[in-house]
Amino acid sequence: MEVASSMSMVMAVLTDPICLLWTFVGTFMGLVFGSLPGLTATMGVALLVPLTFAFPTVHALGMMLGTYVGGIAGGAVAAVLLNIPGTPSSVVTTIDGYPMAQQGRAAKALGWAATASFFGGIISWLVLATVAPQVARVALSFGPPEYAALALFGLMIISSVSGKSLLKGIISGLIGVWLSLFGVDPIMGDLRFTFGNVNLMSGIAIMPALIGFYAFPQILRGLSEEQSTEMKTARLNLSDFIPSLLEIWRSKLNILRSSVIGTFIGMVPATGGNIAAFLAYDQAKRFSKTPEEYGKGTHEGVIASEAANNGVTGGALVPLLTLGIPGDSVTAVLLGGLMLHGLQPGPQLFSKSPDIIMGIFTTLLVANVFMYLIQLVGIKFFVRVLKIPNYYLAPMLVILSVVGSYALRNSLFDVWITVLLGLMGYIMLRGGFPMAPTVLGLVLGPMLESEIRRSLILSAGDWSIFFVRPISVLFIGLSLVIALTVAVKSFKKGQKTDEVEASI
Amino acid sequence: MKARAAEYWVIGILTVGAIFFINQAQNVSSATLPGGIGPRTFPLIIFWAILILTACLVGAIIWEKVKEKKVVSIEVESHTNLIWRIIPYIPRQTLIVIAMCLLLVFLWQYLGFIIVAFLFVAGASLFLAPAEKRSIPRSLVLAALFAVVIYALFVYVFKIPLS
Amino acid sequence: MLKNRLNKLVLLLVLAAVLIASTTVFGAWEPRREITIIIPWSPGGATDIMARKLQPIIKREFGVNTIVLNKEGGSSAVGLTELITSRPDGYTVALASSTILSLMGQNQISWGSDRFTNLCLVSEDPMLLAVNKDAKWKNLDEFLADVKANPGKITIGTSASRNVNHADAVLAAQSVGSSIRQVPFNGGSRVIAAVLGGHVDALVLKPSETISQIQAGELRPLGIYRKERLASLPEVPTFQELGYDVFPYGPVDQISYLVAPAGLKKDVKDKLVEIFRGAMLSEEFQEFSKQAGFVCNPIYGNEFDKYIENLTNALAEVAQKVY
Repeated sequence: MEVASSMSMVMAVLTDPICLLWTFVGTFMGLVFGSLPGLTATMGVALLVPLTFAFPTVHALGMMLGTYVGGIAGGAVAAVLLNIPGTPSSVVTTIDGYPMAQQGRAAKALGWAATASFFGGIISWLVLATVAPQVARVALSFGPPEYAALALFGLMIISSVSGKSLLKGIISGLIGVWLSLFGVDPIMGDLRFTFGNVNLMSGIAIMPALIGFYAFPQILRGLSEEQSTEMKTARLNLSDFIPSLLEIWRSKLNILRSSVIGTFIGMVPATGGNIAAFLAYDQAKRFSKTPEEYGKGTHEGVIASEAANNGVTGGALVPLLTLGIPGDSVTAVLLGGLMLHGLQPGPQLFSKSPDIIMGIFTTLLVANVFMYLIQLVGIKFFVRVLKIPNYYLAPMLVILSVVGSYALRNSLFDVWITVLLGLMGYIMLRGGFPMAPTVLGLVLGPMLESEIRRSLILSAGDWSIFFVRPISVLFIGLSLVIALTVAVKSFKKGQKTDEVEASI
Repeated sequence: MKARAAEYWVIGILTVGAIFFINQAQNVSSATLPGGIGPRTFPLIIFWAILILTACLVGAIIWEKVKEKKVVSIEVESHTNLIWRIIPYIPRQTLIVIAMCLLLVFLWQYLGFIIVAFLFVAGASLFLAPAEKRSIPRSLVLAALFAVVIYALFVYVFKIPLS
Repeated sequence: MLKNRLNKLVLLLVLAAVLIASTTVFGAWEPRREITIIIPWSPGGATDIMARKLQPIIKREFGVNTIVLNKEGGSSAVGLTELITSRPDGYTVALASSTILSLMGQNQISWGSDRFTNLCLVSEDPMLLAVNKDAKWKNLDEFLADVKANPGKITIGTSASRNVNHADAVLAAQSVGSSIRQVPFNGGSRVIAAVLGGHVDALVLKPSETISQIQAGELRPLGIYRKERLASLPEVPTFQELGYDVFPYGPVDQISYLVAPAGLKKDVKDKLVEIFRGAMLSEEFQEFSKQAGFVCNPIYGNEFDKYIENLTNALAEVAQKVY
């Protein structure tokens, strides 16, 4: 593609006010969707597919991409302010974001979240816009054994996000896996534990579980506590919440590493923002000089999570645009949207419709800029949520959560699931069981199971398939190293202090 | 000791649940493709793991108790009724809000979203607000506004039907 | 006094009967409010896109408003259970597919086809066997000869299990008296990625899922599970013309079709068929079907009932003998 002609296509988008307007509206809508618990980026894009049907293609794409970027970034708002992840990919943001808010640094946490999201988006955009065709093949090297090893590696992260007690963390993780076991078996198609209920055939979806485990316990706990998150919200200056260039420079490695992890996970089909955020958080903690700060409100945790989940946006578009294979659930919907506009995403899109490709690149960049700007203006208003008295906020949050879980599949069954899991989550929270491992188990448990079984079908029952492939060996090796270090550490700790409470 | 009581509850639920599901797993087919693992194996591993780890947790708690007994001679709470140690201390208002939530979902299908949301927000906010800050007109207006705005947002803007 | 009342009652009853009869016999039914189309799959999926594409056409050509309601879950069982329990008044229809017939064949759901009023066929998506562009098999004969020579060695990726994909993969091997190793994936895009990455030898998917990779030359299509060749992929031969019988139990087609709850009145049914067929036969929708790679030949009436009956039987037989 000639540079001159592609530049003119970029200019065509940038000078088209209506296109910019729709991208702005899309980004705004995405932020709203992302920050409301229960409404996700996937849903926002799916709703836009028919709405933008009559638009010119690039306008429609701009709006959908804006919703994608905004939806993933917006999840951080509820995660920080309320400890309720707005989208599945912002679960990790709660781990450090909420403690920051409790310490009166909510605006700062949101500023970091927005900044990290922006960097994640831009770095993944760079990868997409420059080397997409070259790196797309990397994603294809992931076969079932590699997925299985990745899932195993991911489950090791439980050790990083368990908080005080590793034992409780593992149990929480297993509860998540348990919840993922209902419904049609991923390999054979047999029914498991459906008890004759049609609604259970597709299992327990992640969103109702997430709302149940995060939103309800949080709301219920909030009732019995006086507002602990109250903070001074008067007269926030930009410098109070936007990290300075110096601060950004100090975290450059974390930002870069997390964004790259996000981009890479985005490129691997059928993974997504939450896995990326967990991996990035784990890596940030391991590389950190002060790992003990993680979980207690360090901005580095927020950076890792948000840079990674927005890194997914550009990454997930790589296989979609180059191979016609969506990288995550949102891009799967985008694929449908492109087809409705008469486009076949895939290798031919670059040669056949360079204007569309340039349109996608440009609007994606613009959407990231809009996302940052809207958040910078918005943070002042977001933090006012904390000023709403709890006796108004809690009932409203209940309604929002319930509506969110209903709207996912238009199903009251999901609402019941949400409420029941909410009660379970409340008891777990009271008993000191961490929630993040549950989400990890819910996401990675089924992946581990189905990929192991799939690999064994491929190898006709030969387990060596996991040990002859380099990527798979790498992940299995890393998992072993983590398991060993954790074991040694807890053994030492047990010897040194002889304090059982620390390990319970 | 409320945290401890909640722990007992989780342990209880997990133990009963895992045993029930291990039993239920017998109904799951174990047929498989050549070389593969059947649909029954993985769930069984998970349930047994839950059972074993829960037992470990019980062990750890007992171990801690034994140690505590050595250090502090008499436990204060040992005099209180066993039931009160197992029932987690849940504040009365939390219990009532839980009941309201269940009622909310139950009534939804009969009354429709707007009415249910209005009743819930109005009722819950009046119930939860401290007496000196309670204001009936304010709660009613806020609840009505909230229900209508959310309904309009979902149905007309997002095009998600709410029954 | 009592008699008087009874008389009035009889009079009323007669009047009501006449009214009801006249509407069914003389007055054709017209939709007076919007029609809800239940899509038992997630928004953004192939079925959903079809419905969304039909919406504006129906509005333009017939002035009828439609609402698309996504009720996903249970491999379409959740949404279709909702349909059969709704009132047969013509204001609720759904897009069902071979999947639900397949579930019925395996007794995974507790109700059967008799709870539907079949309206018309929407799309026919014949399956396609394809391999990586670098694969050693240049055509179907070479591939099946290899399958015959190495029973149980060659892997074929399908999306999920116990559906038309699975059946067709197995039936291809059975047509040469051999077997393959079926590798079920969660969704078509994972299957394509696995074949492009060289993890799996071949795939059986719908042309609508693979057309972009085929056009780009990344995948090599070997054969189509259909009686005639496809208009969108005219160079790909069918199994039948090369002499492989892949349909020993009757044609196992991947279709989606429009249904209403059982007990729909004749005039309502006719009107709905008229509206939806009209929209599907429009130039715009036909153009869309070609581009997306599915066949839109909306047969209806007795012909269609017969078609569904055959398909149901074939799927039930496949469920017993293949899975």
